Amino acid sequence: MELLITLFVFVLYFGGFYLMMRRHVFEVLLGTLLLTHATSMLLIAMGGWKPEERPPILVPSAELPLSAYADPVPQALILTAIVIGFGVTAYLVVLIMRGNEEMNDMEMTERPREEDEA
Amino acid sequence: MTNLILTPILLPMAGAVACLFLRGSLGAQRTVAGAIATAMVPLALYLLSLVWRDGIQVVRASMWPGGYGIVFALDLLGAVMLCLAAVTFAASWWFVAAGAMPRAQEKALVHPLFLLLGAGVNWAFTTGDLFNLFVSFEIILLSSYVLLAHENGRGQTREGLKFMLLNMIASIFFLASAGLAYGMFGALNMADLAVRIAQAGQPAAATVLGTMLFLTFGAKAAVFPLFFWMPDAYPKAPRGIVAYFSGILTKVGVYCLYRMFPLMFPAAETFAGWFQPLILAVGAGTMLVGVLCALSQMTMKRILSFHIISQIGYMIFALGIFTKLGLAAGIFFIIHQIIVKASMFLVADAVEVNEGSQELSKIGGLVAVYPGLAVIFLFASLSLAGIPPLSGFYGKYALVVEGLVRGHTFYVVVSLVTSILTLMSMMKIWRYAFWRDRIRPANAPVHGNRGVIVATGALVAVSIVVAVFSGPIMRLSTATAEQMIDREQYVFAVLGDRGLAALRAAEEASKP
Repeated sequence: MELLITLFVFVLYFGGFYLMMRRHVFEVLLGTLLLTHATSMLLIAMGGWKPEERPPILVPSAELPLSAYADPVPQALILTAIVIGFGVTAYLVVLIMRGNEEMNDMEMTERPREEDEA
Repeated sequence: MTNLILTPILLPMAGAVACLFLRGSLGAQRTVAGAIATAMVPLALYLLSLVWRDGIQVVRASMWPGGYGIVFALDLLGAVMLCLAAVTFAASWWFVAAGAMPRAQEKALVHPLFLLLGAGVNWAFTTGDLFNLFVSFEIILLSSYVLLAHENGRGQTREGLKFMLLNMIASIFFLASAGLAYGMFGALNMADLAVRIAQAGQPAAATVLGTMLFLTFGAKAAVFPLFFWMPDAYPKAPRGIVAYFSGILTKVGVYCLYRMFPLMFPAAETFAGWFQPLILAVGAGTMLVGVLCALSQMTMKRILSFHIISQIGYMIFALGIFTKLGLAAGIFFIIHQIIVKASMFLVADAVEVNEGSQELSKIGGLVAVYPGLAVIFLFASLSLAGIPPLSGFYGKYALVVEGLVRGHTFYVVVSLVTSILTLMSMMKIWRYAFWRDRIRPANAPVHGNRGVIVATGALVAVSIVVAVFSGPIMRLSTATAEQMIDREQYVFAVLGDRGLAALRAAEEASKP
């Protein structure tokens, strides 16, 4: 399972960086989304992956050792990271839309405009 | 232990919310933001005196034992940075309030965003936790994204987009390194992480983590070769606020490097073998490439932006020396640099407000019209280059002496060459903007604004105070460096007896 997640993280990072290097702004946006997901998966992998672990809710009657429960910290980190990533992405979308209205193109690097050349 | 160390975060944050509700009235926004901006200065100075007198101040959320809950810890390094942030914030706020930008732009969102930015920066200086540091970085970045792109005219959107994307990559990298820190060492609290890295005795894992953190904070601090995002973005920040951007924001990255390396990676095999050559080489490259880029620019703010990079190089160099005196020189240099750099940007802004442009080809002969501004600029630029009676000299002198004593001759030579080139590029601004025949761009405003010059002068006065009291400030820097090198103090303050005992045992065990 951990190998699978590692491969998954690799593919997500690979795709994310590939898209980040594209010219079109929308592809770059998708690239940032993939990178964010890749990092979330990486955090999950860092918490360890044992299918027999229970959710971290202590049951006094069960008397289980602490190692039987999943580590809640990576999940808390991911939750925070997702919320932050959502906010940043929303702002990025607004910025891209405004750029599109202002300049009528969706490319990262500036094309020489006609009046500049004249 | 006092909850007071949370006020530098909570006060601006509350002010930001209040300003959002007062969006209709610029006067009310100015009153709230101004009261907070001004009150932060004595507050930060009081906190510094508190830390100086009583040692490191720690707040544990809900009294969870250190290492489990959220921890805020303020040591001398953090307190010094808080003071600098407060002084720069106040100066650039008063510059804005003197009418530096059009009313509609100022009314839009500038005050709440600026306060939020201040809260994020203060948060970064106070937190004791790697993940909280990530959150504070996001607050800083989000407010600066909006400040850079909002109501700022055509053509800014693309620059804002680039700045945002590059910083997003750095943030993702930061998050991944925080995850790796937790995965490899099982802690996010910085003091706890220091103990566990010492306990683990795995130089390879520590080296990977340290290098990732160095890359993350290096990108935030705009070191060579990761500086490309900065000189395009910073000159586009709103007038006045650009001083806070240039003075403080890149130094947040430097602060994090100063915080992480002495605390977590001082072990001889990781530091001397890999980090020290890396940091020294990056420092030298940053100094030289920054100043060479600055020499070729033709607008005041772009020259100054590349200078930020060049001066960051000195701070990184000081970290690379990694002795008590080297770090003390670095801290003195940061104190001097933040204030002088912010005041130089205010000079460029004051020129722009009064003349309508800060491009060197369009302005000239300012010395006859604004003698006060010329004197201010002369003081600041000579101080930046490190001419003896001014504050830049003392930091550079200590750095050069300590570098020579420790045998880093090559890097010392690079730093001296950089100083000469710095002076050259300052003279370029001086020759074009101040000395030659009077030129005024066609779109220059009819009425000048002297208020902004007063705000600029106040900040330069602070830098002269730094020069006059360089003795006590050097003592403060030395005490700060001592506290950084002696990491047991920090670990004891955050984790208590058990953490200290664990650290000592681990250090004992690692000795051959």
